[in-house]
Amino acid sequence: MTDKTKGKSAIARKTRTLPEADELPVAGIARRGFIQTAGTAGLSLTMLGFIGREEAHAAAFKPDLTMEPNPHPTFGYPNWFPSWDEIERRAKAEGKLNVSAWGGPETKDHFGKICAAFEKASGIKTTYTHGDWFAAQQQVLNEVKDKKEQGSIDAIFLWGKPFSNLMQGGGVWEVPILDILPNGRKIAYRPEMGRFVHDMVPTYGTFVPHVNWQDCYVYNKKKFKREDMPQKVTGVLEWAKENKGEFSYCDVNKGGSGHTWVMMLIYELTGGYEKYAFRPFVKEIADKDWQPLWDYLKELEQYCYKPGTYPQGNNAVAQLFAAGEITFCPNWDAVMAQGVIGGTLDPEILGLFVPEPGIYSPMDGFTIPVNAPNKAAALVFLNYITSVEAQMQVPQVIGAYPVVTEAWDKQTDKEKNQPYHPVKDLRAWRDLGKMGARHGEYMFHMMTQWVDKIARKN
Amino acid sequence: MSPRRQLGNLLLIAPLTIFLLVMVMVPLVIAMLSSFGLTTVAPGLPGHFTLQGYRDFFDPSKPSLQALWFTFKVTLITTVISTSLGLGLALFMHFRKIRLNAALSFLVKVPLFMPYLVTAFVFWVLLYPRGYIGIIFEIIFVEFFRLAEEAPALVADPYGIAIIVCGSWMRFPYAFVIIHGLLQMLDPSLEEAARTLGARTGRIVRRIHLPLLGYGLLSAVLLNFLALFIAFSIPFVLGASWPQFLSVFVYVNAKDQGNWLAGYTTSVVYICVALAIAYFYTRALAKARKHA
Amino acid sequence: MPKRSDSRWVDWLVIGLVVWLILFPVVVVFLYAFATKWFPSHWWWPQEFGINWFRKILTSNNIVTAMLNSYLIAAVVTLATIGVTFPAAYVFGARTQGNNGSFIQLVEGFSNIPLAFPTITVGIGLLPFYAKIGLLSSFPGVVLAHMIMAVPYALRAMVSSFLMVPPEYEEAARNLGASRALILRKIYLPLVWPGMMAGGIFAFSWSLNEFVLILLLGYPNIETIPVQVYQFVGGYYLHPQQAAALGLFLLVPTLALMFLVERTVKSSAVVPAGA
Repeated sequence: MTDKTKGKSAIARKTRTLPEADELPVAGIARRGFIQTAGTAGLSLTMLGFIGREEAHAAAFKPDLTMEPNPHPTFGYPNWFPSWDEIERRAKAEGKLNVSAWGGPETKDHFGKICAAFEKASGIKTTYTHGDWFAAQQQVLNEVKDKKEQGSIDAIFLWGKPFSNLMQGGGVWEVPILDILPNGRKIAYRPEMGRFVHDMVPTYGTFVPHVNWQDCYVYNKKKFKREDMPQKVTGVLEWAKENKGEFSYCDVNKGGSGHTWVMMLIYELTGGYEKYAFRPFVKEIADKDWQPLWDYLKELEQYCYKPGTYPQGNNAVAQLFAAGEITFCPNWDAVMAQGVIGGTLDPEILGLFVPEPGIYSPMDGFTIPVNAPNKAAALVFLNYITSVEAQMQVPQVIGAYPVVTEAWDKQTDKEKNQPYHPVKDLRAWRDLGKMGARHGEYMFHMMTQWVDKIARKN
Repeated sequence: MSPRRQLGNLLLIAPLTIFLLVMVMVPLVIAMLSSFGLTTVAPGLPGHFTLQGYRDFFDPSKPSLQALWFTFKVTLITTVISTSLGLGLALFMHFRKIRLNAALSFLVKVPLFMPYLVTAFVFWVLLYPRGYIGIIFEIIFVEFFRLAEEAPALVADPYGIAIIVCGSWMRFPYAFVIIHGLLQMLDPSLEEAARTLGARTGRIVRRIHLPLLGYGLLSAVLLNFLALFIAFSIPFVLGASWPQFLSVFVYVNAKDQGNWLAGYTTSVVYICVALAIAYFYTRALAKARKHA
Repeated sequence: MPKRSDSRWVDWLVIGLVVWLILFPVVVVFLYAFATKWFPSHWWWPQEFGINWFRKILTSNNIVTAMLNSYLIAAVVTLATIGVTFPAAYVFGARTQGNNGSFIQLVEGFSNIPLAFPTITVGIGLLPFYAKIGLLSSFPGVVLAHMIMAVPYALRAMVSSFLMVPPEYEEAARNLGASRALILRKIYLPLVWPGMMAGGIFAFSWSLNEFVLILLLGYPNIETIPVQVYQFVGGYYLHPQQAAALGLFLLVPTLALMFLVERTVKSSAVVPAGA
């Protein structure tokens, strides 16, 4: 009973700050007594709260209200259900592990180190293969199709599209692994953070996020002040008109910084985030409602750097930026970080920020293939890389944000103040702030259309 | 020809025939069937007969034909440039009696052994606006001759300039090696006889070298053409968003966009075009063989 | 003869230009591999040199295994390719053959097809086939896949060599009662050696450079250096410095090897055939 009232009052306290709250069926939900704890109530609020996101932000939703681990974890397990201790025992018995990932040199570096550290800590022989996203995913799908029960990969790193392919092809081990991992609780309890969706592909708990790249607006701070730059995502066109030939974005099929940015434009120009978020893909919406997007990009093209040519990839844009050929572009934090660390980009010119209302960026991570031969070892590995120590490597080696916010809090001030990190207070900005996810299917559809609609001259 | 000899011939080509049957026929048949939608080897293939892939490919409003034409054009230009460079150098060395010593012969082959991807990216860093060639080009083009306000893009450009430059650099040693080898095997008495009769160098090249080199030259041209026609690394790194090289088009369609039907259809058209070229080539060879 | 010592400088100029054209991009690879600081505003020369990239590559790549794989695969591909194509090239090319039957012509025509095969199609065509017969991610599987493209190259090069051999040689030997095997070994082999070298070298370099097929068919057991380079050059992840440094692990040994081959072939020069 006390629980119930506590829940109610928490909701009431939150709704007070929401002007539209009267229209929300919050009271009804509470009356039906479905949602009893403050945490879950807060969660539903954020989901509903997209209607008035500013306000939802103000409503003190605390996704980092994580619970302490259960002091008696094994009590609840019947003997046919493996406890974490049992999983660790089995992992030791399996004794080996094949990890597969892809990404830039820094990602390779990162996973190489982390696998070596894991091997040392656990005694499980860990082989890391750095490939490309397509090959690894296709390999698993082919094995599954051929009914090969013992596959070759135990943990596979994926972005939204291959995850969706793998899910649909029956290649994912459909067990809520994120909830099994003790360290899974360290990830902020927000649906977009790989809990419910990965690039809006439902995960059903089979996905463990690992790294949060952030797409940013990058500008030359020797030539412009922060106030001169577009404050909103959609402000680029106006800015480019005034500064002809200074802006460029990469071919959306060759670099994520391009398509992630255009995805945000879709949200902003064609009906808002709510229209797409947590909804299935409807091709008619894209066909019918996207004209403003294409008009915007087509108009933008004539004010871009060398109109009609698009840099082929994130690093190609970064290189043009470093060379002073362009002064403004969307790009990843990690890509700019590699420029600074690798000595090809003068940090003195690097200004970087996230415009309003954000550029919703991905949380890429791992899943376990259905035919993984060493599943227990894979679980222990995924738990290890979600630990604070391992997550602390993410900003240091890759230059992106960790998914475990505690691992960011523990960074030195020097690290937090690096010019390629757009935000210092990650907790307030990401976990408690406005956040969204890319819609993988719509984004993918846009990528297939972009060449025809924008790059190709008719 | 005696039947015994014929049997011997069949035995001699048996390993090649078996290899071709297994390793070439299998992907070819899979590609063929898939282009009509008859298999399910890749995601997105319907598994029943459809002409949709071909309809899309030959639809002028769709990009495929443009890509094919662009690929053909760029390949042709690159082949002409690279083969002329190779032929010119080989003839120059032949006439000037410059011996191809070990060091030089080795140097010339360097481009053949550069990892393709590394070559492509080197040309990227050379040609992009702040690369060595990019800067020199800008100085000449914009500042010296004032031909334009702004230098045109040399990489990821709509004319395929970067692909042509890089492809020519990569493939000219191939033409050179073949032609130079053939020139060495040429009977020097022919040339001497012509010279004694007072023929000029240009005439000698036209009347003696080119016909005799015919087979080798054609072979070099064709192999250069086909190698560039299906080249992947160079256009992948240096190509523009549009127009796309056909190999990149297949790759983007199939891999990045999951449109395997288009990927397979394009591949089959690709192979058919190459077969047509190979057919004309074989006929030209037959003629050259008669002359030789 | 237009060979006067005062015009020698033209020769030097042209050869010098060619050498410079060839070496310039190679030098740039070296520059990138050793440049640890090079801002584009300082475009003419790197600001700092060092071996950071090499250190990084040595710690984060299985560089030794990848190199061994690269060269082993290329060598086996070359030998197997020559083994398959040498007898066939004789049938297609030797001028004593006269008119071949239509079946043989068909095979010769068919052997050209892989020249027009986009590798991604070959890869995805073979993937289900390999999965069925268990060749996926295996050494023989990768070698066979590489031979698809190597065979037509080697075949073309060797056929042109066979064509250059005057028919009288074989006829004379045959009149003396030599068998086919003997003729091939004793007469043709020394004479078509340059063609074979050329074919072999192209097979070798093709295999050494290939990455799409290995990525698709060799993953995750077989990794070669080009596959690693691809990870630094592909659209998403261009990293010139590391790509350059890694490229040197392939480039330098290959060039050394080629230099040796060049010298051996030269010293045993049986070349001038059609005298």
